[in-house]
Amino acid sequence: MRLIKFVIVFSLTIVLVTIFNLHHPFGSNTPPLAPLLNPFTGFWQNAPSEESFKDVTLKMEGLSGEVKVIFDDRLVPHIFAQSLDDAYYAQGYVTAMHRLWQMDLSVRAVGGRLSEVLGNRTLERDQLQRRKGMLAAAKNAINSWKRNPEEVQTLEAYIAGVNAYIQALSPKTLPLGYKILNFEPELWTPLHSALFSKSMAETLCFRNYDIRATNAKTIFGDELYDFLYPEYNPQQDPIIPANTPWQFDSLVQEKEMDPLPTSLTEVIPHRHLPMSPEFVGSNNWAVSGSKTASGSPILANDPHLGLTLPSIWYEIHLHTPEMNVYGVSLPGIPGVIIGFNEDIAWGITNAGHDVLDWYRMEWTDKDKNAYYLDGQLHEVEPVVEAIRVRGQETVFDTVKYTAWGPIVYEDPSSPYYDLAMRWVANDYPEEREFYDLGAFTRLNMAKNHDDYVNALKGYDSPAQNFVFASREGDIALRVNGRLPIKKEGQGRFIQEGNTTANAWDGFIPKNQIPAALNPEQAYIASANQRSTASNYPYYYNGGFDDYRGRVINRFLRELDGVTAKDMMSLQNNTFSIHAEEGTQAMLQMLNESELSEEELGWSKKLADWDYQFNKESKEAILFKAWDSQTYENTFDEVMALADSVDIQYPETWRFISLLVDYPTHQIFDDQRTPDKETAREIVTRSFKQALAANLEKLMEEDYLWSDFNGANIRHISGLPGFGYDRIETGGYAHALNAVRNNHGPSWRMVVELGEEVTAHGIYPGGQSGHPGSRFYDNMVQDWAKGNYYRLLFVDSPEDLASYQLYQIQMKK
Amino acid sequence: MKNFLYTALIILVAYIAHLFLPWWVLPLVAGILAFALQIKPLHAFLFAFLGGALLWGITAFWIDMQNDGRLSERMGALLGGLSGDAMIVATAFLGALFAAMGGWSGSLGWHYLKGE
Repeated sequence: MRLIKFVIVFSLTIVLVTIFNLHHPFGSNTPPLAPLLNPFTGFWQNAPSEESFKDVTLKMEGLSGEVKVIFDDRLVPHIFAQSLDDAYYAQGYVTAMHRLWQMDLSVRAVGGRLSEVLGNRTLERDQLQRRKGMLAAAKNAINSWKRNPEEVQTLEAYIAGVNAYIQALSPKTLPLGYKILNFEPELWTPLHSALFSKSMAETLCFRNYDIRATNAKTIFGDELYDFLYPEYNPQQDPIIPANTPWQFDSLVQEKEMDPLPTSLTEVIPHRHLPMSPEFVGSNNWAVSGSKTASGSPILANDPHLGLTLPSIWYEIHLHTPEMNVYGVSLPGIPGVIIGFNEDIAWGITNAGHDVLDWYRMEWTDKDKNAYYLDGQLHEVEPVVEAIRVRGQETVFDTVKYTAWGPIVYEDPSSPYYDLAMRWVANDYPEEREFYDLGAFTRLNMAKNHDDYVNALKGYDSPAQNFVFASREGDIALRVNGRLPIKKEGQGRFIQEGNTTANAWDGFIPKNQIPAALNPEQAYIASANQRSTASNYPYYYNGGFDDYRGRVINRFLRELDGVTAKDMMSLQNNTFSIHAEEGTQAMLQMLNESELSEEELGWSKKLADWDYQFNKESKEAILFKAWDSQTYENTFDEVMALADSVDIQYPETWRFISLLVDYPTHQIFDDQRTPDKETAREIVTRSFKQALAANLEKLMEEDYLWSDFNGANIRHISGLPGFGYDRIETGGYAHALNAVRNNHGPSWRMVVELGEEVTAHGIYPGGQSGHPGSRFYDNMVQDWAKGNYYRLLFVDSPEDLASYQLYQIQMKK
Repeated sequence: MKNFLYTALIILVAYIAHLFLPWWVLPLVAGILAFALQIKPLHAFLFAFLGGALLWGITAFWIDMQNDGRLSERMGALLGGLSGDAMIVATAFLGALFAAMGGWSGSLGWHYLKGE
């Protein structure tokens, strides 16, 4: 009897222990409960106390001298080193210390290696990443860096720092993400860093409309297509002032494009690849000393990216005998990406040029292993991608590379044609003095305009508008990157891949890219609009912003005696020209005689609106709802197709210009009704619909524009409770403060280059990527309110004494 | 008296063992101590339960207090909308359950070998 009792209880204990040690109660990617809750090694150990900020001295292998890292009261590391390599080593170490999990996950996501740790739910995504050639592109980048020993050295120092942190981890100190998803970090390699840099290319220059545009043109015919989808908005204020002379001719061989291939008369069945949201962009500008109150130039930059926790940016200050640079870095890349030193400041916005084109490959037979090019047969180059999947066997996928690039889409139902992708980010760069990494390390140490121009010679992709200001008083901007030389209209639609005549004509030489130095207007600004006026010798296309650039120019033209404070309030400005033009156009068309008392009241409110997207604005809600409703009712022809084919949507600015200039055009006729509508009926009907659908929200006091706008900050892997479902802040996609959903100003920086450089900045997050840290999200609320922090740009550790949280002393 | 000594020993020995070994050392320690101290089965269950609850619960509580409850709140939200305090209770309960099962097993094992 006693034996039975013992056996039962003992067995039950063993079973319970086993279950809680091995069973994943919340799905296969979550940890077993007992190890996670064990207060000695589980998640509790990732909840630091104030005690964790105690000065430490670490012995480090791989350093050449002593390094002092002082963390200030916002946990920004100020690295004081005796050599550049030691500084990058320390940067690698502290970045990993705060952001290892984020680094690991982002690199897995871009390179198609998520399934290794998350199982088959991410398999499709991984396959797509491999098909886009991300891994191959990263390998190309490493091979180019390898040609320059200095870049190799920089990267190796950084990586040694990252790995010093990884190797010192124990089950207890493993970052929380690893405990939750139940895997361990691998050592960092150059490939990881290269992949991270490719993830930026993916975010910023992967946008392409070829498939959608081809479908729209096929379905609507040339005439209606050209009417609904003009190439760009003639009202855009270009970045480089229109009066800038160009002292060269285009190098393009043949300007005219062949017409769209006649064989392309069928709708492309493929779904468009996922892309980052439209106009993921940014604002930057530099104001010359002649326009500022202090007489010193001021530079401002706010890159708009996905808002996540941890944030994409990591603030850092690197100090060596030859360099003193402050700014934000990308976790995984050595150096500062946006920032300033004692002599210059620089900032970036996305250039938006279309650098990705699709070519239709003509296969020689159904096996799809050879294609025709200029009448010749060419074999594809197969690359076998092995995708390891947690909990199942490795999946092998063969990606076929053509002369244009990888076959991303392979369609079993189409035996003779498939689409190949030609993308600048996949290129193996031509031999030159230095490459992307060298470009940033040079920029970090640049002293003047010449240094800045020289540094950017090494930078290719993603093409960016690099704004610049120096203490010497220069302001400048360069649309810098690998910009293809195209024929008129090339790359707007899918092209035939069977002739090299359809290839780009090389790339615009770096001394002919759009650039300006000290323009007459005494400021230079970019907000993702077109780079140049129509007098620029080269043709280019892409996705360009229509409104923010005009707002900046409107304000900067008028302003005089500019202060840093003015620039901060400009970055937080929520006024929108889109709303101004849209509201006026729609009110013009609104048939008031058909409105009820209540509806009339709301339309009056809109008429009195100042077009500011404040967080409380009810008018903003009504405008946005009305605008969307009118758009949908106008383009019902396009909307009706959206489910069956991927199709381009007419641009916002074109919609407004149709309302103003062509109110009786057939496009306004709603195909779903027997009546024949014009803009007047559509606008009025849409107003009633939008108001009825949103009346409750408009009447409810607690419902804000920020709710309607969906402002939020999500956790990088979407864990509930680890992000912010709602942020109370103003802003609008087409306002300078471009907050929309979980996108917006990911770093706001204003630098005044006086005798002493003074800088302010903030980003919506915190330095620490550890959700248990008080520095995980400590800047979010200040960011939402539009506040800034003074950036502690000092010359010695002693200057930080009163701000010091703690320090790490690294000894060799 | 012996029972409270048993509880105290579980806390002390398991605390040290936890610094080197995985979580399942807790039921193991409770079992061995119940065996060695010849604790009666019901008492072994109850006093080990107490020991496990105190060890895991107080440790979690202490960490949580110094952390201002930041992480427990997030983890609670992640694990189905629990509060931070509930995470402490859940932790304490797990510790209690496993110590109790271990202690009970150890005690029954001793009972069996004693052969009365």
